Amino acid sequence: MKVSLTVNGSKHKVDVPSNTLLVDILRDHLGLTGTHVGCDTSQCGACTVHLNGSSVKSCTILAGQAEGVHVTTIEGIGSVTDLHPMQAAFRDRHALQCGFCTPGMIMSAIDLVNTSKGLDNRAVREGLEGNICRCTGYHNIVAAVLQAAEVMQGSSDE
Amino acid sequence: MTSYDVMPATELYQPVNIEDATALAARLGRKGWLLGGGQDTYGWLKDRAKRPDAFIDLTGIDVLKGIRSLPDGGVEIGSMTTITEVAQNPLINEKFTLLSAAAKTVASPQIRNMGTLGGNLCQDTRCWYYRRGLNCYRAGGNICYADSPEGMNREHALFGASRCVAVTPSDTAPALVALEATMLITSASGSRQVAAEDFFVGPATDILNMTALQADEILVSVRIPRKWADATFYHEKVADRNVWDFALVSLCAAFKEDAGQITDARLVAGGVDCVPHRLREVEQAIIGQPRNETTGEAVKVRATSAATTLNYNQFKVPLMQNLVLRALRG
Amino acid sequence: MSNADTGIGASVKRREDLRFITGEGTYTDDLNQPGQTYAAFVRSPYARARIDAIDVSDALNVDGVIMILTGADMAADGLGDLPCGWMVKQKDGSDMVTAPHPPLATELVNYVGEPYALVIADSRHAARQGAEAVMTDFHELNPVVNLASAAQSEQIHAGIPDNRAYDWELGDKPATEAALAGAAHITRLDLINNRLIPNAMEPRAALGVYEKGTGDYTLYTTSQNPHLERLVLSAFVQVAPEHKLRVVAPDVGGGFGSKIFVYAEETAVIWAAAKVGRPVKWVADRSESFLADAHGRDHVTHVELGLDQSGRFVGLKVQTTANLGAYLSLFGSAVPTYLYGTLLAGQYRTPNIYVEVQGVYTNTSPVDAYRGAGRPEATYVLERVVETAARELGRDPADLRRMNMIQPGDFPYQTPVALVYDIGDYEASLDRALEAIDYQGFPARRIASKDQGKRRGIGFACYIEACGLAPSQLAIQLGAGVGLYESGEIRLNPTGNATVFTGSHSHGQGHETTFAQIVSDKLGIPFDDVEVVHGDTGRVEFGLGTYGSRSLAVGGSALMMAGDKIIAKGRRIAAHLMQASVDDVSFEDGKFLLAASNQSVTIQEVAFAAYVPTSYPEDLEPGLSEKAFYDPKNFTYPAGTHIAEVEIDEATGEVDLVALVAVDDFGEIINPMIVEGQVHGGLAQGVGQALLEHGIYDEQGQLVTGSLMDYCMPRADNLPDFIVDTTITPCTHNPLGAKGCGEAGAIGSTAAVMNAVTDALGVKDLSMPATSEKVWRILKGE
Repeated sequence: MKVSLTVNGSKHKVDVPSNTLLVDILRDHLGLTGTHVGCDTSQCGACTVHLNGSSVKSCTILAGQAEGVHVTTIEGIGSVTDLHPMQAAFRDRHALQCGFCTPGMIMSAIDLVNTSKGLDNRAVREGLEGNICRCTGYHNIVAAVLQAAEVMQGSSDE
Repeated sequence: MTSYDVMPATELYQPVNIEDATALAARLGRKGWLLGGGQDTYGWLKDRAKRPDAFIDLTGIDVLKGIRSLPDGGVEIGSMTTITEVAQNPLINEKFTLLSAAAKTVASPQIRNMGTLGGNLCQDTRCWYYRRGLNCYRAGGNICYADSPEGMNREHALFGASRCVAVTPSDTAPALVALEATMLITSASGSRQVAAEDFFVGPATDILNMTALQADEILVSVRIPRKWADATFYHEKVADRNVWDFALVSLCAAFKEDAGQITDARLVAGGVDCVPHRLREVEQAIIGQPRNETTGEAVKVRATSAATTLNYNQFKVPLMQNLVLRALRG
Repeated sequence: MSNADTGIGASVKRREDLRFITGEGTYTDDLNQPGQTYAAFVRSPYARARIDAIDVSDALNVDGVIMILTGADMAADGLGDLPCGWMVKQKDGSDMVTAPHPPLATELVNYVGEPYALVIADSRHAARQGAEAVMTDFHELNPVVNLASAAQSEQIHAGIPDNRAYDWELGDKPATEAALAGAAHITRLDLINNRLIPNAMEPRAALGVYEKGTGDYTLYTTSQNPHLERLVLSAFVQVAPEHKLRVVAPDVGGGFGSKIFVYAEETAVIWAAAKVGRPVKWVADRSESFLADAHGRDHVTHVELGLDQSGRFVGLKVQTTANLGAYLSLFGSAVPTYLYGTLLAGQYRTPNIYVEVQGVYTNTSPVDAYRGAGRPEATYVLERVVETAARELGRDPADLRRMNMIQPGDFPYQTPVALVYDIGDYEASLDRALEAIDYQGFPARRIASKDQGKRRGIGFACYIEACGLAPSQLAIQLGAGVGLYESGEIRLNPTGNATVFTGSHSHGQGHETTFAQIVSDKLGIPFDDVEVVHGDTGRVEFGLGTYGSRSLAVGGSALMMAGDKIIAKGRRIAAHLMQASVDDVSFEDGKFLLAASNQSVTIQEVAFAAYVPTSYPEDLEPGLSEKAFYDPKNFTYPAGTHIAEVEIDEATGEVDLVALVAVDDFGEIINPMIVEGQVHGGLAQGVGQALLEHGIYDEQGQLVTGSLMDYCMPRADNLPDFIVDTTITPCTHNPLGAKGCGEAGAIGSTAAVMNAVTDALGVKDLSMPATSEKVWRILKGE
């Protein structure tokens, strides 16, 4: 089937078997391998991207349901020379080790900050319940998200 | 031994209006699979436990989405509204926080962003054996694996068992039963309304299906009447893990009070029956009583008087009683 | 040039982060070769069965399927078995008994998920369809699943009665039994160390390439030790000669031990690449990982601790049955013996210790090293029995430990279980930890919790571990099949920057940063001018890889040695350039200095001179590139105190971990930020074992917890912020003074948490994980 979708601002048309998942379109057809597959039961969150602005698990979306959507992947939110505040905070606070869960974690965290007010330690931990990390124990991830939230949400006297 | 992460090829229909959707449902019947956000669906297919011929994707039908006020002061929620939208909607958060509280406990944020209310209400049970594709009664076979001496049935039902002991997995269903919601259903041959309490069916009524939806029917929307708006609500979900898991036991409660006494109440438990389970005995016993710990202690045991335990789920009995106590204690 | 901001001891931000946070990492599944095919394995659905016939005819007809290979095909090609690399000697001096472990099963399958055929197709989908279509005639056999009764059950492997691979012992049995017989008090415990599933976030993967024209094989795979992988594949399995096989471990998403071993999958993939004539790629899905990755832990233990009147430990006796799974995995024999029994002295002066371990086969997935590999198991046994003894005697658990601790003046300390600890100050970490958790304030907190209907408990673990694996001769004497040195190479480039090659491998540990810090600090070269290369046998000298918390202690030390060689040669070149005697030239901060003068040359100038030898010593080869193999003189001994505080809801049994303190002594710290991160990760896994995780098999040998749906991985809201600190007694025997830190978090925390839970409940023991249901049943008095 043919699917048209916008990914990181660019329009794409792909022709894929009907059982293709969005994550396969991104990784295999568009070469965007930053989004990772870590499980087969929609648990781990490594495949998280933004779909029309909200975080979703790209392993649990059929190509057919991605027609006309706007997808943002980790490759689309910043670059080595121009890091998104969440990316910068992750590096600053050592919120990653092996890096495999990181793209999904960053995408979830960005949506969490975008849709929440008054985030605290507890709220961040609950907001990241859809993402598993085996390396960091989450301590630094929480610190990074809170740090990025301050930057992203601006200080009150800005 | 097969691997699980590849979806089998399945025909996909994407109607843009209800008429086309119902025509497809009429043609395909149970060989068609109504698709919402797909957050539960793909698991069934990846596991090869279900093999429908085709999906009927309802998410492209705009009239099925959105939350609007009803003239009587209630609220109508389109079946294809995402769980996140239900959890965050101002109308729901103003009048019916019981539903938004329940919605917030569904799975994880990403799942809530894609998953729909209709999908959450109509999802199939999660009994481990059934999910694995074993040919039990619910799957059309002749046996129940869970209700056996060695069966792993700690997550299974205390009530309503009839050959099958699986439980309702929906977090939002008990809330809607407590709020006395009505389901709007349509098919090619017409529409009907079903009270939420009758929408969910147990194995004695229909062992093969979890809801009253016929093979050619689609859930259009859920209407919550004004009756319980602004009532006092209590919601608690107990799961093995803090979050993520389906409920072992959940409780949705709504109270109306006047002059320090309860005048009306709905208490509905999830995870203990194949359908959301109304605690009628408790509801009746607390009328005229104050909403406090003493009342809770006095009535909690009525929540489980009709419970039949299995080998491994006895813990649900005191757990249910504790939730009732906490609901009354506030 | 050596910079306080980027040298040893600085919390330098990681260089590797830049590609990971932008999605530009290259993990094995991100690699693709032109013309590649895809592989799916056909795996046994039974825990134990005989394969009578395999019918591939339907499968071959599936659209896209190219070839199907079975265990028989592999055997026909003369491939060898997957070896166990550590020979353990039994009590009677005989060798342990291993069962043959063909990469693809031929006649018998012995665990659910054991692979016996490989389907190669032109898409992932077709490969799986093909695998589903393979028809196999199985004759089911009775599986042996229960560990405690395995020795009395049916014999799984021919020639191995009692299903026992070994009956091993360490220590002095008569002296220990005498000590216990004379003890004033004996504390006894029966403990289970629950089976865990590593679940690194990146599933295992392999991409095999064979070049017909040259006969070269290249295997890209998720390995913690590519050279070891290559050695085993060539020397034992004999897929390809070593010099024609290149193994590349690109970015690897976590290992925790599970990616050390040589598995059936990458073996089959590289072999199949030559048979198919096209690259072959395999990626595990998560449910497959659950079955196919080596599992961890799984011990049943009886322990007895004898104390005298004053509370001193006089004897410790331990009997353990260790589950090996269906086959002995690469290090599976050593984990419950040499990495376990040798740690039973702990931080204490116990004079008499005896341990015996039976390694037993069952029809379950093979068990091998998982973060801590034997040391968490030892710590669990020791610290649970010590804490229990304190309770039985009405003694404060910190004080009882303190009075038994080895004192700073006792080092080097020869334990009764082979190891010689070089240095430590155990009371220092204990005191720091007591302060960090506010031990004085605990009684008041307990009362406050009680008023809220909650039970509060506190638990200790004063652990020690042996890592920095390992002195080669000692290891080989104890049965290792390889030495455990490490290689390090520093190449100065003509333009004055440096490329560093290390046999260590980073799959989260941050070596690209820390090793650059070490070399930058050692040679006075700017941090950004040092590039670290690892993970490729085609570029890096033979090394043993990363596990056992060895990278800093052994890999880092190799680089220090190589750095010394660079400096030594550099001095000769510098002396020549300054027309002086080499004895008058010293090196500091990137400069070669001439004594009693203000002449100096930079290391960059020396490097240039080495490659453009305009003015150069006659008897010296050009170039400035040095390599070293560092063989440690001893294990290193990180140690510390972990303290956990929990609060249990009496109504639901829910255990809330309210605080977890870890004060560890890792010797000199290269990058404090990274060390903390390693501890955090280890703590999370230790807590996971205590409260959440359990790999469960049913009586039919089916893995009940077979996906992330059923196996409870710790998530952010299962854990608190951790309180982490360090004390330092530098390692006495390596150039860095570093002990290693990768596993310690997982070594002490499990015992600390379970000590806290049992304290809160007032019970002697409950099995792990302490789920709310288990706890609740105890509260109800069941």
